[in-house]
Amino acid sequence: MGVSVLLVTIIGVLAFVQGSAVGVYESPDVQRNQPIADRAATYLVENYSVNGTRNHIRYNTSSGIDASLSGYNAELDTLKDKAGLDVATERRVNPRVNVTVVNASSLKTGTRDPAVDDHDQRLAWGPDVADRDNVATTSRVVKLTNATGQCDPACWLVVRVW
Amino acid sequence: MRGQAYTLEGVLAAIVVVTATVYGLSAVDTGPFQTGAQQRTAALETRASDTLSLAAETGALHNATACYSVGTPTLNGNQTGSSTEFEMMLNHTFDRQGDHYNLYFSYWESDSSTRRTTIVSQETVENVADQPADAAVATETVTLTDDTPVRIGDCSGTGPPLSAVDGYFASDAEPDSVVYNVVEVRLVVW
Repeated sequence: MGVSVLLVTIIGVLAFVQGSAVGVYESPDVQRNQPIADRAATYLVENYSVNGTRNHIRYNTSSGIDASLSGYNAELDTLKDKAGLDVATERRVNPRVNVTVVNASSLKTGTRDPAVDDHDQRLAWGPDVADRDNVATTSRVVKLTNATGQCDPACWLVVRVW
Repeated sequence: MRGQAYTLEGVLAAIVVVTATVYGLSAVDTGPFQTGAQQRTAALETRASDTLSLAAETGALHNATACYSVGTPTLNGNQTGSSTEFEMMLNHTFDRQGDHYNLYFSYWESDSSTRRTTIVSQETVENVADQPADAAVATETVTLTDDTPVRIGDCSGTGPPLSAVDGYFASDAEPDSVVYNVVEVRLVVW
């Protein structure tokens, strides 16, 4: 009798709280880095957009995204400073950031290879993300100026943080 | 005397517990916990609103809403054969990444007091039926005026003005003003 009441209680609790208690939780690394990735992507999109437009990134101009990010050092420390990426919820952290532009044909085939511009330069800045675990990723849908055809109909700006 | 000792012990114990709690809380980073599904929904929401913003910015969304093909909107969310820019955007951003979406147009009826909402993406019947609770929603509003030329073909060629064509899916909501109709485009992604 007592055993059956115990079993019914346990099964009942599991059945009712299943969604919230036994959900698949992301790694704490990803949870901490996700807001940082979101912040970085929002900073890039808002700061490098053509004046008065949304999601239309200045690419190949003097203060465009390419000139800025290529001018920073390999770890993109200036970007971290400017976008405030060195703070997690309550404390200072030192994330590594990679920024990549994925062109339309890569999206069509479902890959995330970086786009290549007219000068055979890959549109990826920051340390390489290969072989890293628990990478937090934010993708924004954008178009680049002076990127004829590559962003037709759209490119992705992918920020990875680990 | 003994009572005082017990009180003192209790106070000291309380101080120890509070100190340990404060110290412990400052040692761990207490952010809100998110499940993988919640994070995925947040990412989809960003992508959906980005897509609509970009489409509105480039005019592709305006072209799509003004697209005319004998009575019905030519948008059909067709996965492969779609040639309009807006559909290609949706195709690259969602279909090709393995995400489902429904696209709705909500517009005024002819008396401009009630709104009608229709689904314009008819890729599969499952899409319409199978909407999970954690779907992400993004909306964008497009205003059409009486002299907006309808878009024909792949929605980039221009035809006669909206007020001159018959059988466009939305009717002239305010015949006395230059506004033809206000279409709210709603994208539901999961």
